[in-house]
Amino acid sequence: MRELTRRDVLKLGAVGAVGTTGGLGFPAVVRGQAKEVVMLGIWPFTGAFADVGPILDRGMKMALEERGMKILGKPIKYVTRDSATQAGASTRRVEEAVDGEGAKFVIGPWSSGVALAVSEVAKRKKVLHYFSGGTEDISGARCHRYSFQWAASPYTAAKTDVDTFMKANPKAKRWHLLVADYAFGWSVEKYIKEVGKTHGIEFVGADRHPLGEREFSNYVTKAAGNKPDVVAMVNFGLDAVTAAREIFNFGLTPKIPLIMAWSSGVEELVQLSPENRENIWVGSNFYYTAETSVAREFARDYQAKFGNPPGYAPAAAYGMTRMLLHGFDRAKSTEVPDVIKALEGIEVNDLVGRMRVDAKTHQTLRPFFFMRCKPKAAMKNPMDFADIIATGDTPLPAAYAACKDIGSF
Amino acid sequence: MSRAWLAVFAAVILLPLAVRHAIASEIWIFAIFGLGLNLLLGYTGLLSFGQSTFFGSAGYVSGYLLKHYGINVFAALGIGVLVGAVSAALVGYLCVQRSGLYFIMLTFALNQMFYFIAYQWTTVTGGEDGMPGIGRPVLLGVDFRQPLAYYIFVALLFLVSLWVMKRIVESPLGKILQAIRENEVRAQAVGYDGARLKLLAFVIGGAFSGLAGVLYAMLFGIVPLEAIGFVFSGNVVFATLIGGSGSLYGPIVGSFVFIWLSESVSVVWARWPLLLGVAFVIVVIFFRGGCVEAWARFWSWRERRRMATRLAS
Repeated sequence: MRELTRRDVLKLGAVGAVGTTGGLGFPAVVRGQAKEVVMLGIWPFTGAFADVGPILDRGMKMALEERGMKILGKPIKYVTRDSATQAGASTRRVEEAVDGEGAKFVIGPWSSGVALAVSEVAKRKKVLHYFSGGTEDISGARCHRYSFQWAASPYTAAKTDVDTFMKANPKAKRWHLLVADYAFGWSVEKYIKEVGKTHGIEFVGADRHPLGEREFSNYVTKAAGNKPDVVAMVNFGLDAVTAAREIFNFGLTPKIPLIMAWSSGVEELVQLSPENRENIWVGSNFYYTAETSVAREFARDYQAKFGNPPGYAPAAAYGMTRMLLHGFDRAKSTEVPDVIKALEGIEVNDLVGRMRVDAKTHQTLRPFFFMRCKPKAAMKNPMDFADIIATGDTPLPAAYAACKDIGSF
Repeated sequence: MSRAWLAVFAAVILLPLAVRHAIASEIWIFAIFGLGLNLLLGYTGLLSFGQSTFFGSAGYVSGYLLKHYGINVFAALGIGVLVGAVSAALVGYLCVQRSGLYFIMLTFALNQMFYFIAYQWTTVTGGEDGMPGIGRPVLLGVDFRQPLAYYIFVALLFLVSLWVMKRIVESPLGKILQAIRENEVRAQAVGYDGARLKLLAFVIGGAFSGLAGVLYAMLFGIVPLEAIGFVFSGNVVFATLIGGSGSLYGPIVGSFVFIWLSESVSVVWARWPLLLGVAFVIVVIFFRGGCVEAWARFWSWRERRRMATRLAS
């Protein structure tokens, strides 16, 4: 290597400094103008859920565009950051967007573990955070004044699943559970067993599989060996799809029903063939045929724009953004504490029906959907997967509530 | 003082002016992590795909003690270095028994084992949710919660790490490790115990990873599960290769390129890892010595051209 001269080093330093501070640098001290409201969508554009990021982004954008990108006369500046489904990267990027862009309202991300990290940032930076997902902790053990949960409580989900299914199949008393082995799976499993007691259900087996499992044959043979009346799964995404296919391949479905207790709906069902889907019952936070005017318009516009019906992901992003905007309307202010206070106890008829935010826990109390997949002959189009057979909105009983004190600002 | 050191000092001073302090801190933390890997990869010729084992373990142990017992910052760092070194000794002992592909697979497999322990042991590590709530205690009246104060602290530790690593690679030990890289059998024939020395390189690399792990935990106030995951192990290999694995300064350049790309380009373009992929392909095909080699070649090319013009005139 040639020896560098002093002049070379100076040149190099100058070029480097100009490069980094100039066009390519970070928006270090540029704050959002006071008159605009900056909202951040922290979505997974890379990493484990890179496929979901862009559709979450779509949902949030649609809700903002409906308002002409304005709230209370002020322009909304919508910025996004890549969560990468990594807690470290998300923490850093949310902090950067809050400090650098002046973001005061954060929606996302997709994964529960990352959401809890983002929730910590929201608390530290005093910005409003809305999240939809499986963790109980946002509105439970780790609740605080700045974070809100949009998805139904795992209890609401379990109660809707079990009650509705038992009403349709009162004799199906032998249940085998297949549960994703992490916090979300455990809590739904706990509540399914709890609600199951009231129906006299016998749990003949409960297997746990690691997240990202792709080989379910041993679980399925074990389930078949237990001779259950029903197999109920508490898992999500590709885990659920892979398991459902394997259960079909082993000849369990459609002979015995399969319940997907907490599914994303469209995103998962589209990956199963109509034959696979026969006798599958699905619990979900959203299904696009929901009988509300907001859902109808959303499904119609979304379909017109993107060519397929919205699943849970875009609906959650859309629904959370709408709730947030309702908060602004009610607060008549764009200040974070005002909007938080307005959201606490707010009651609206929105995307999934009557929705209310519990002021004590920041849990959105809302209906959870229970669907039954249609046989191939009954499908009106390739995306006509299921009928909503019931919705349920029983909130988490106070005895289980882990959020003892939502705290102060 | 050499020009390389001058450049490093200039970068340490200029970086916080150009980027946010948290990102600047992360660049140096990642550089410390890379220095540790580079001792294995660049100097000993061992590709370890499990460096996050030591990084994450140190983060978890020190993070736990910081969170629950509020220990002193230096104690946390010391414990982190120790945990990094001890875990590296454990993993390294098993790995150095094999070489080549089997060695790489072992580092990877053991990393996965540590990952699943962290994933399942939710009461301590928080599992998928990570371990949040790690503070940066005040030390000698300095409040490390101030981003600039923490940056200076990290930058100083980075400079110390770089100095220590420079001493190591220039010492007889460093030369022997390079001899092992070039031809292990011959190094053994001259009387050096290959396995023991490779294990020593592992332990030193682990200690550096441990230091980086604790600094990372304190920087973000959380030990995320991915800090012990294989993607993280891959990232540091990737950054080091892009920077230049044969050179002491390679991992520093690589860390800068990697973090800077991920933080600035990701804002503009969601599919930024494509750029990293392209950069990686270019490095592998044209510049096996990474950015450092590209730079050196550029200079020698310029020099030759200058000489040619001078001769012509």
